[in-house]
Amino acid sequence: MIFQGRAKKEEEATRDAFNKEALPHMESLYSAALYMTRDAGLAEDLVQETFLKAFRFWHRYESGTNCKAWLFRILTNTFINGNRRKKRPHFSIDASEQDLSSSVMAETSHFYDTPEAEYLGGLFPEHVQRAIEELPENFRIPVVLADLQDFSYKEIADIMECPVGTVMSRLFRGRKRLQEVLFDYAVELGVIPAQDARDEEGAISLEAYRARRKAVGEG
Amino acid sequence: MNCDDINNAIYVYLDGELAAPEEGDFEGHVSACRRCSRLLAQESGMLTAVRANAPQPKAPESLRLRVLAALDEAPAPLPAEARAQAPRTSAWLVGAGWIGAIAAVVIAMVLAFGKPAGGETDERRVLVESVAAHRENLPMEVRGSEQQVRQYLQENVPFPVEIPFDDSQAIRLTGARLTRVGGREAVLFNYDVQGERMTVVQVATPPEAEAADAETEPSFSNHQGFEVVTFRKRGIINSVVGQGQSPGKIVRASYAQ
Repeated sequence: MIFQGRAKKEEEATRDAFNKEALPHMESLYSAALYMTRDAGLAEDLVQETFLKAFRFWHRYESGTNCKAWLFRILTNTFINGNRRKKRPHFSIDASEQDLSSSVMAETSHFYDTPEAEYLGGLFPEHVQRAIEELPENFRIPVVLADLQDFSYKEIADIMECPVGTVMSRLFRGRKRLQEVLFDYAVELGVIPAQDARDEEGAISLEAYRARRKAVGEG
Repeated sequence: MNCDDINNAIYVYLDGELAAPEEGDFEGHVSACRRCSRLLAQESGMLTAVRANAPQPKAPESLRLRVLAALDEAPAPLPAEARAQAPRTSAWLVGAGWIGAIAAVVIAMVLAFGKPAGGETDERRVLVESVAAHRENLPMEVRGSEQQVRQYLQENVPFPVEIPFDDSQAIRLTGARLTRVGGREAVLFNYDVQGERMTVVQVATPPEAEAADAETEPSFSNHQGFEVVTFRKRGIINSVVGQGQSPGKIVRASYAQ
Protein backbone atom coordinates (compact mmCIF):
# COMPACT_ATOMS: atom_id res chain seq x y z
CA MET A 1 0.00 0.00 0.00
CA ILE A 2 2.42 2.62 -1.18
CA PHE A 3 -0.32 5.13 -1.74
CA GLN A 4 -1.55 4.95 1.84
CA GLY A 5 1.93 5.31 3.18
CA ARG A 6 2.46 8.42 1.17
CA ALA A 7 -0.88 9.90 2.16
CA LYS A 8 -0.10 9.24 5.80
CA LYS A 9 3.21 11.03 5.47
CA GLU A 10 1.58 14.03 3.87
CA GLU A 11 -0.99 14.14 6.60
CA GLU A 12 1.71 14.23 9.19
CA ALA A 13 3.56 16.95 7.34
CA THR A 14 0.37 19.00 7.20
CA ARG A 15 -0.21 18.56 10.88
CA ASP A 16 3.37 19.58 11.65
CA ALA A 17 3.03 22.70 9.55
CA PHE A 18 -0.26 23.49 11.21
CA ASN A 19 1.18 23.04 14.70
CA LYS A 20 4.08 25.26 13.83
CA GLU A 21 2.28 28.06 12.00
CA ALA A 22 -1.27 28.15 13.33
CA LEU A 23 -1.24 26.95 16.93
CA PRO A 24 1.10 29.67 18.27
CA HIS A 25 -1.71 32.16 17.63
CA MET A 26 -3.93 30.54 20.23
CA GLU A 27 -3.30 33.21 22.86
CA SER A 28 -4.34 36.06 20.58
CA LEU A 29 -7.33 34.16 19.28
CA TYR A 30 -8.49 33.32 22.76
CA SER A 31 -8.16 36.88 23.97
CA ALA A 32 -10.13 38.22 21.01
CA ALA A 33 -12.69 35.43 21.36
CA LEU A 34 -13.27 36.45 24.97
CA TYR A 35 -13.97 40.03 23.93
CA MET A 36 -16.28 38.81 21.21
CA THR A 37 -18.27 36.23 23.17
CA ARG A 38 -17.82 37.75 26.66
CA ASP A 39 -17.88 34.27 28.09
CA ALA A 40 -14.92 31.98 28.80
CA GLY A 41 -16.74 28.79 27.79
CA LEU A 42 -18.01 30.25 24.54
CA ALA A 43 -14.57 31.70 23.83
CA GLU A 44 -12.96 28.28 24.20
CA ASP A 45 -15.55 26.72 21.90
CA LEU A 46 -14.97 29.48 19.35
CA VAL A 47 -11.21 28.99 19.41
CA GLN A 48 -11.53 25.24 19.02
CA GLU A 49 -13.96 25.61 16.11
CA THR A 50 -11.62 28.11 14.50
CA PHE A 51 -8.67 25.74 14.67
CA LEU A 52 -10.70 22.82 13.33
CA LYS A 53 -11.91 24.87 10.38
CA ALA A 54 -8.43 26.22 9.77
CA PHE A 55 -7.05 22.69 9.74
CA ARG A 56 -9.70 21.50 7.33
CA PHE A 57 -9.07 24.43 5.01
CA TRP A 58 -5.33 24.44 5.54
CA HIS A 59 -4.72 23.87 1.83
CA ARG A 60 -6.12 27.35 1.25
CA TYR A 61 -3.58 28.98 3.49
CA GLU A 62 -0.55 30.01 1.54
CA SER A 63 2.50 29.13 3.57
CA GLY A 64 4.51 32.13 4.63
CA THR A 65 1.63 34.60 4.30
CA ASN A 66 -0.15 36.26 7.19
CA CYS A 67 -1.34 33.27 9.19
CA LYS A 68 -2.60 35.32 12.12
CA ALA A 69 -4.87 37.41 9.89
CA TRP A 70 -6.09 34.28 8.13
CA LEU A 71 -6.99 32.64 11.45
CA PHE A 72 -8.70 35.80 12.65
CA ARG A 73 -10.77 35.86 9.53
CA ILE A 74 -12.03 32.38 10.33
CA LEU A 75 -12.57 33.32 13.99
CA THR A 76 -14.53 36.44 13.10
CA ASN A 77 -16.62 34.70 10.48
CA THR A 78 -17.39 31.83 12.81
CA PHE A 79 -18.36 34.20 15.58
CA ILE A 80 -20.59 36.37 13.40
CA ASN A 81 -22.25 33.43 11.69
CA GLY A 82 -22.78 31.62 14.97
CA ASN A 83 -24.35 34.71 16.44
CA ARG A 84 -26.66 35.14 13.50
CA ARG A 85 -27.95 31.63 13.94
CA LYS A 86 -28.84 32.09 17.58
CA LYS A 87 -29.56 35.78 17.53
CA ARG A 88 -31.61 36.76 20.49
CA PRO A 89 -34.20 39.43 19.82
CA HIS A 90 -33.59 41.36 23.04
CA PHE A 91 -29.90 41.69 22.37
CA SER A 92 -29.41 44.15 19.59
CA ILE A 93 -26.27 43.54 17.58
CA ASP A 94 -26.61 46.54 15.34
CA ALA A 95 -27.17 48.90 18.19
CA SER A 96 -25.99 51.97 16.38
CA GLU A 97 -28.49 54.21 18.16
CA GLN A 98 -28.26 52.46 21.48
CA ASP A 99 -27.28 54.62 24.39
CA LEU A 100 -24.45 52.75 25.95
CA SER A 101 -23.77 55.14 28.75
CA SER A 102 -27.11 54.56 30.43
CA SER A 103 -26.69 50.86 31.11
CA VAL A 104 -23.07 51.20 32.07
CA MET A 105 -23.67 54.16 34.31
CA ALA A 106 -26.19 52.31 36.41
CA GLU A 107 -23.66 49.63 37.32
CA THR A 108 -20.68 51.85 37.93
CA SER A 109 -18.91 50.79 41.04
CA HIS A 110 -17.97 53.17 43.84
CA PHE A 111 -15.76 50.77 45.70
CA TYR A 112 -12.43 51.74 44.24
CA ASP A 113 -10.05 54.21 45.75
CA THR A 114 -9.33 57.21 43.69
CA PRO A 115 -5.96 56.65 42.06
CA GLU A 116 -3.54 59.45 41.38
CA ALA A 117 -3.13 59.31 37.67
CA GLU A 118 -3.43 61.34 34.59
CA TYR A 119 -6.53 61.36 32.51
CA LEU A 120 -7.70 57.84 31.68
CA GLY A 121 -4.40 56.23 32.53
CA GLY A 122 -5.67 55.51 36.01
CA LEU A 123 -8.54 53.35 34.89
CA PHE A 124 -8.67 49.80 36.05
CA PRO A 125 -8.37 46.94 33.59
CA GLU A 126 -11.88 45.82 34.58
CA HIS A 127 -13.29 49.12 33.40
CA VAL A 128 -11.54 49.03 30.07
CA GLN A 129 -12.58 45.44 29.58
CA ARG A 130 -16.18 46.18 30.45
CA ALA A 131 -16.25 49.30 28.28
CA ILE A 132 -15.02 47.30 25.28
CA GLU A 133 -17.41 44.45 25.96
CA GLU A 134 -20.33 46.87 26.12
CA LEU A 135 -19.69 48.08 22.57
CA PRO A 136 -22.12 46.82 19.96
CA GLU A 137 -20.64 43.95 18.02
CA ASN A 138 -20.01 45.78 14.77
CA PHE A 139 -17.88 48.35 16.61
CA ARG A 140 -16.38 45.96 19.12
CA ILE A 141 -14.78 43.68 16.54
CA PRO A 142 -12.78 46.39 14.72
CA VAL A 143 -11.77 47.97 18.05
CA VAL A 144 -10.51 44.62 19.35
CA LEU A 145 -8.68 43.91 16.10
CA ALA A 146 -7.06 47.35 15.92
CA ASP A 147 -6.38 48.21 19.55
CA LEU A 148 -5.79 44.83 21.14
CA GLN A 149 -4.41 42.84 18.21
CA ASP A 150 -2.58 45.59 16.30
CA PHE A 151 -3.94 44.71 12.89
CA SER A 152 -3.66 47.29 10.12
CA TYR A 153 -6.77 48.69 8.45
CA LYS A 154 -6.19 46.51 5.43
CA GLU A 155 -5.83 43.40 7.55
CA ILE A 156 -9.03 44.24 9.42
CA ALA A 157 -10.83 44.79 6.13
CA ASP A 158 -9.67 41.34 5.00
CA ILE A 159 -10.68 39.75 8.28
CA MET A 160 -14.12 41.36 8.34
CA GLU A 161 -14.51 41.07 4.58
CA CYS A 162 -15.51 44.68 4.22
CA PRO A 163 -13.98 47.76 2.58
CA VAL A 164 -11.25 49.73 4.38
CA GLY A 165 -13.62 52.72 4.52
CA THR A 166 -16.06 50.69 6.60
CA VAL A 167 -13.26 49.72 8.97
CA MET A 168 -12.35 53.37 9.44
CA SER A 169 -15.87 54.52 10.13
CA ARG A 170 -16.60 51.69 12.54
CA LEU A 171 -13.35 52.25 14.38
CA PHE A 172 -14.14 55.94 14.59
CA ARG A 173 -17.56 55.41 16.04
CA GLY A 174 -16.49 52.52 18.24
CA ARG A 175 -13.66 54.49 19.79
CA LYS A 176 -15.84 57.54 20.34
CA ARG A 177 -18.30 55.39 22.23
CA LEU A 178 -15.50 53.78 24.18
CA GLN A 179 -14.20 57.19 25.07
CA GLU A 180 -17.59 58.31 26.35
CA VAL A 181 -17.94 55.30 28.57
CA LEU A 182 -14.39 55.51 29.87
CA PHE A 183 -14.77 59.19 30.51
CA ASP A 184 -17.87 58.52 32.54
CA TYR A 185 -16.00 55.91 34.57
CA ALA A 186 -13.12 58.28 35.08
CA VAL A 187 -15.30 61.07 36.41
CA GLU A 188 -17.27 58.69 38.61
CA LEU A 189 -14.06 57.33 40.05
CA GLY A 190 -12.63 60.77 40.52
CA VAL A 191 -9.73 60.06 38.16
CA ILE A 192 -10.78 63.19 36.35
CA PRO A 193 -11.94 65.81 38.82
CA ALA A 194 -15.23 67.21 37.60
CA GLN A 195 -13.92 70.77 37.51
CA ASP A 196 -10.91 69.75 35.41
CA ALA A 197 -13.08 67.89 32.99
CA ARG A 198 -14.50 71.12 31.66
CA ASP A 199 -13.31 71.48 28.10
CA GLU A 200 -15.29 73.98 26.13
CA GLU A 201 -13.98 72.78 22.81
CA GLY A 202 -12.82 69.20 23.21
CA ALA A 203 -14.57 66.08 22.05
CA ILE A 204 -15.85 65.31 25.49
CA SER A 205 -16.85 68.05 27.87
CA LEU A 206 -18.39 68.20 31.27
CA GLU A 207 -21.38 69.85 29.70
CA ALA A 208 -21.94 66.90 27.43
CA TYR A 209 -21.34 64.58 30.33
CA ARG A 210 -23.93 66.40 32.44
CA ALA A 211 -26.43 66.43 29.62
CA ARG A 212 -26.03 62.70 29.29
CA ARG A 213 -26.38 62.13 33.00
CA LYS A 214 -29.48 64.28 33.07
CA ALA A 215 -30.97 62.31 30.20
CA VAL A 216 -30.24 59.10 32.09
CA GLY A 217 -31.82 60.47 35.27
CA GLU A 218 -34.96 61.39 33.41
CA GLY A 219 -35.08 58.21 31.39
CA MET B 1 -6.97 70.74 6.60
CA ASN B 2 -9.34 72.47 8.97
CA CYS B 3 -10.51 71.45 12.44
CA ASP B 4 -13.29 69.29 11.01
CA ASP B 5 -10.80 67.39 8.89
CA ILE B 6 -8.66 66.84 11.98
CA ASN B 7 -11.68 65.46 13.85
CA ASN B 8 -12.32 62.99 11.08
CA ALA B 9 -8.74 61.94 10.45
CA ILE B 10 -7.54 61.79 14.02
CA TYR B 11 -7.64 58.02 14.48
CA VAL B 12 -6.31 57.39 11.01
CA TYR B 13 -3.39 59.62 11.96
CA LEU B 14 -2.89 57.97 15.35
CA ASP B 15 -3.03 54.54 13.72
CA GLY B 16 -0.27 55.61 11.34
CA GLU B 17 -2.51 54.99 8.34
CA LEU B 18 -2.60 58.49 6.93
CA ALA B 19 -0.82 58.84 3.60
CA ALA B 20 2.36 60.95 3.66
CA PRO B 21 1.01 64.19 2.14
CA GLU B 22 -2.06 64.22 4.41
CA GLU B 23 0.08 63.36 7.38
CA GLY B 24 2.10 66.49 6.74
CA ASP B 25 -1.06 68.60 6.42
CA PHE B 26 -2.42 67.07 9.60
CA GLU B 27 0.70 67.84 11.61
CA GLY B 28 0.88 71.30 10.10
CA HIS B 29 -2.60 72.13 11.31
CA VAL B 30 -2.22 70.54 14.73
CA SER B 31 1.01 72.32 15.53
CA ALA B 32 -0.67 75.64 14.78
CA CYS B 33 -4.02 74.98 16.44
CA ARG B 34 -4.38 74.80 20.20
CA ARG B 35 -7.77 73.16 20.08
CA CYS B 36 -6.60 70.39 17.79
CA SER B 37 -3.37 69.74 19.65
CA ARG B 38 -5.39 69.29 22.85
CA LEU B 39 -7.77 67.00 21.06
CA LEU B 40 -4.89 64.95 19.72
CA ALA B 41 -3.37 64.62 23.20
CA GLN B 42 -6.73 63.55 24.58
CA GLU B 43 -7.41 60.99 21.88
CA SER B 44 -3.96 59.49 21.98
CA GLY B 45 -4.23 59.33 25.78
CA MET B 46 -7.45 57.41 25.41
CA LEU B 47 -6.00 54.91 22.95
CA THR B 48 -2.89 54.47 25.07
CA ALA B 49 -5.01 53.88 28.17
CA VAL B 50 -7.09 51.28 26.37
CA ARG B 51 -4.06 49.47 25.03
CA ALA B 52 -2.21 49.60 28.33
CA ASN B 53 -5.12 48.55 30.52
CA ALA B 54 -7.24 46.17 28.51
CA PRO B 55 -6.69 42.71 29.97
CA GLN B 56 -5.38 40.10 27.54
CA PRO B 57 -6.22 36.86 29.29
CA LYS B 58 -4.05 33.83 28.66
CA ALA B 59 -5.57 30.76 27.08
CA PRO B 60 -5.95 28.07 29.73
CA GLU B 61 -3.78 24.99 29.34
CA SER B 62 -6.96 22.90 29.19
CA LEU B 63 -7.90 24.67 25.96
CA ARG B 64 -4.59 23.80 24.35
CA LEU B 65 -5.03 20.15 25.27
CA ARG B 66 -8.61 20.18 24.06
CA VAL B 67 -7.66 21.67 20.69
CA LEU B 68 -4.81 19.19 20.22
CA ALA B 69 -7.15 16.29 21.00
CA ALA B 70 -9.79 17.64 18.60
CA LEU B 71 -7.18 17.96 15.85
CA ASP B 72 -6.12 14.34 16.38
CA GLU B 73 -9.72 13.31 15.79
CA ALA B 74 -10.30 15.70 12.90
CA PRO B 75 -10.62 14.29 9.38
CA ALA B 76 -7.50 14.69 7.29
CA PRO B 77 -7.34 18.03 5.52
CA LEU B 78 -7.33 18.20 1.77
CA PRO B 79 -3.76 17.53 0.66
CA ALA B 80 -2.19 20.53 -1.01
CA GLU B 81 -1.20 18.39 -3.98
CA ALA B 82 -4.79 17.45 -4.81
CA ARG B 83 -5.70 21.00 -5.57
CA ALA B 84 -3.26 21.29 -8.43
CA GLN B 85 -4.06 17.88 -9.87
CA ALA B 86 -7.80 18.00 -9.61
CA PRO B 87 -8.82 21.53 -10.34
CA ARG B 88 -12.49 20.72 -10.13
CA THR B 89 -12.05 20.17 -6.42
CA SER B 90 -11.33 23.78 -5.67
CA ALA B 91 -13.94 24.89 -8.13
CA TRP B 92 -16.50 23.12 -6.04
CA LEU B 93 -15.22 24.64 -2.88
CA VAL B 94 -15.28 28.18 -4.15
CA GLY B 95 -18.72 27.77 -5.58
CA ALA B 96 -20.06 26.43 -2.31
CA GLY B 97 -18.82 29.37 -0.28
CA TRP B 98 -15.90 29.87 2.00
CA ILE B 99 -16.29 28.66 5.49
CA GLY B 100 -18.63 26.11 6.93
CA ALA B 101 -19.01 24.29 3.66
CA ILE B 102 -18.44 20.98 5.31
CA ALA B 103 -20.60 19.11 2.85
CA ALA B 104 -18.58 20.64 0.05
CA VAL B 105 -15.39 19.46 1.67
CA VAL B 106 -16.69 15.93 1.73
CA ILE B 107 -17.56 16.14 -1.94
CA ALA B 108 -14.22 17.74 -2.63
CA MET B 109 -12.36 14.98 -0.90
CA VAL B 110 -14.22 12.34 -2.83
CA LEU B 111 -13.38 14.13 -6.03
CA ALA B 112 -9.80 14.68 -5.02
CA PHE B 113 -9.23 11.00 -4.60
CA GLY B 114 -11.29 10.08 -7.60
CA LYS B 115 -10.10 10.47 -11.13
CA PRO B 116 -8.60 13.82 -11.91
CA ALA B 117 -10.92 15.78 -14.13
CA GLY B 118 -9.21 15.19 -17.42
CA GLY B 119 -9.24 17.71 -20.21
CA GLU B 120 -10.63 20.54 -18.19
CA THR B 121 -8.84 23.66 -19.29
CA ASP B 122 -8.06 26.66 -17.17
CA GLU B 123 -10.49 28.68 -19.27
CA ARG B 124 -13.28 26.25 -18.59
CA ARG B 125 -12.69 26.40 -14.87
CA VAL B 126 -12.69 30.18 -14.85
CA LEU B 127 -15.85 30.14 -16.95
CA VAL B 128 -17.72 27.90 -14.50
CA GLU B 129 -16.61 29.89 -11.50
CA SER B 130 -17.37 33.22 -13.07
CA VAL B 131 -20.95 32.14 -13.69
CA ALA B 132 -21.22 30.93 -10.08
CA ALA B 133 -19.81 34.24 -8.85
CA HIS B 134 -22.13 36.20 -11.10
CA ARG B 135 -25.11 34.36 -9.66
CA GLU B 136 -23.87 34.65 -6.12
CA ASN B 137 -23.48 38.42 -6.50
CA LEU B 138 -21.50 39.08 -3.32
CA PRO B 139 -20.91 42.68 -2.28
CA MET B 140 -18.00 44.54 -3.86
CA GLU B 141 -14.94 45.41 -1.81
CA VAL B 142 -14.26 48.57 -3.70
CA ARG B 143 -16.64 50.89 -5.44
CA GLY B 144 -16.10 54.16 -7.19
CA SER B 145 -14.20 55.49 -10.13
CA GLU B 146 -12.00 53.39 -12.36
CA GLN B 147 -9.07 55.16 -10.75
CA GLN B 148 -10.12 54.07 -7.25
CA VAL B 149 -10.77 50.52 -8.36
CA ARG B 150 -7.41 50.36 -10.07
CA GLN B 151 -5.58 51.67 -7.05
CA TYR B 152 -7.32 49.25 -4.69
CA LEU B 153 -6.50 46.32 -6.92
CA GLN B 154 -2.92 47.36 -7.43
CA GLU B 155 -2.46 47.32 -3.68
CA ASN B 156 -4.20 44.02 -3.16
CA VAL B 157 -3.71 41.78 -6.14
CA PRO B 158 -0.45 39.95 -6.72
CA PHE B 159 -0.61 40.12 -10.51
CA PRO B 160 -0.76 43.03 -12.94
CA VAL B 161 -4.28 44.33 -13.06
CA GLU B 162 -5.94 45.07 -16.30
CA ILE B 163 -9.30 46.83 -16.14
CA PRO B 164 -11.11 44.77 -18.76
CA PHE B 165 -13.24 47.42 -20.44
CA ASP B 166 -13.09 51.19 -20.62
CA ASP B 167 -15.87 53.08 -18.97
CA SER B 168 -18.40 54.44 -21.37
CA GLN B 169 -22.04 55.42 -21.40
CA ALA B 170 -23.07 51.94 -22.39
CA ILE B 171 -20.83 50.12 -19.94
CA ARG B 172 -19.94 51.43 -16.53
CA LEU B 173 -17.55 49.91 -14.00
CA THR B 174 -19.35 49.75 -10.64
CA GLY B 175 -16.91 47.91 -8.42
CA ALA B 176 -14.56 45.03 -7.85
CA ARG B 177 -13.61 42.48 -5.28
CA LEU B 178 -11.01 39.81 -4.75
CA THR B 179 -11.99 36.21 -5.17
CA ARG B 180 -10.40 32.85 -5.81
CA VAL B 181 -10.59 30.45 -8.68
CA GLY B 182 -9.17 27.00 -8.13
CA GLY B 183 -7.16 28.23 -5.16
CA ARG B 184 -5.64 31.08 -7.14
CA GLU B 185 -6.20 34.73 -6.50
CA ALA B 186 -8.64 36.31 -8.87
CA VAL B 187 -10.34 39.64 -9.37
CA LEU B 188 -14.02 40.09 -10.00
CA PHE B 189 -15.21 43.24 -11.75
CA ASN B 190 -18.78 44.35 -11.76
CA TYR B 191 -20.14 46.36 -14.66
CA ASP B 192 -23.46 47.99 -15.29
CA VAL B 193 -24.50 47.51 -18.90
CA GLN B 194 -27.55 49.64 -19.42
CA GLY B 195 -29.12 48.49 -16.20
CA GLU B 196 -27.96 44.87 -16.45
CA ARG B 197 -25.26 43.49 -14.24
CA MET B 198 -22.19 42.04 -15.96
CA THR B 199 -19.36 40.19 -14.22
CA VAL B 200 -15.79 39.81 -15.36
CA VAL B 201 -13.44 37.43 -13.56
CA GLN B 202 -9.70 37.66 -14.17
CA VAL B 203 -7.15 35.07 -13.12
CA ALA B 204 -3.47 35.11 -13.89
CA THR B 205 -2.14 32.01 -15.58
CA PRO B 206 0.26 30.33 -13.16
CA PRO B 207 3.84 31.15 -14.15
CA GLU B 208 4.80 27.47 -14.18
CA ALA B 209 2.07 26.67 -16.71
CA GLU B 210 3.03 26.01 -20.29
CA ALA B 211 2.56 29.01 -22.53
CA ALA B 212 1.84 31.20 -19.51
CA ASP B 213 1.57 34.34 -21.54
CA ALA B 214 -0.28 32.86 -24.46
CA GLU B 215 -3.20 34.76 -25.94
CA THR B 216 -6.38 33.02 -26.98
CA GLU B 217 -9.21 34.25 -29.14
CA PRO B 218 -12.55 34.90 -27.45
CA SER B 219 -14.65 31.80 -27.09
CA PHE B 220 -18.40 32.31 -26.83
CA SER B 221 -20.59 29.92 -24.92
CA ASN B 222 -23.69 29.58 -22.85
CA HIS B 223 -23.59 28.25 -19.31
CA GLN B 224 -26.63 27.88 -17.04
CA GLY B 225 -28.53 30.41 -19.10
CA PHE B 226 -25.81 33.06 -19.09
CA GLU B 227 -23.77 34.14 -22.03
CA VAL B 228 -20.08 33.75 -21.28
CA VAL B 229 -17.06 34.88 -23.24
CA THR B 230 -13.62 33.67 -22.22
CA PHE B 231 -10.32 34.79 -23.61
CA ARG B 232 -6.71 35.01 -22.54
CA LYS B 233 -4.84 38.23 -22.89
CA ARG B 234 -1.27 38.89 -21.74
CA GLY B 235 -1.36 35.79 -19.58
CA ILE B 236 -4.59 36.73 -17.85
CA ILE B 237 -7.69 34.63 -18.35
CA ASN B 238 -10.83 36.71 -18.62
CA SER B 239 -14.35 35.41 -18.32
CA VAL B 240 -17.22 37.78 -19.04
CA VAL B 241 -20.69 36.80 -17.84
CA GLY B 242 -23.99 38.53 -18.39
CA GLN B 243 -27.51 38.31 -19.60
CA GLY B 244 -28.49 38.29 -23.25
CA GLN B 245 -26.05 39.32 -25.94
CA SER B 246 -24.09 41.91 -23.99
CA PRO B 247 -20.89 40.00 -23.15
CA GLY B 248 -20.40 38.94 -26.76
CA LYS B 249 -21.11 42.41 -28.09
CA ILE B 250 -18.82 44.10 -25.65
CA VAL B 251 -15.91 41.72 -26.17
CA ARG B 252 -16.26 41.96 -29.95
CA ALA B 253 -16.34 45.73 -29.76
CA SER B 254 -13.27 45.77 -27.53
CA TYR B 255 -11.38 43.43 -29.87
CA ALA B 256 -12.38 45.50 -32.88
CA GLN B 257 -10.64 48.54 -31.44
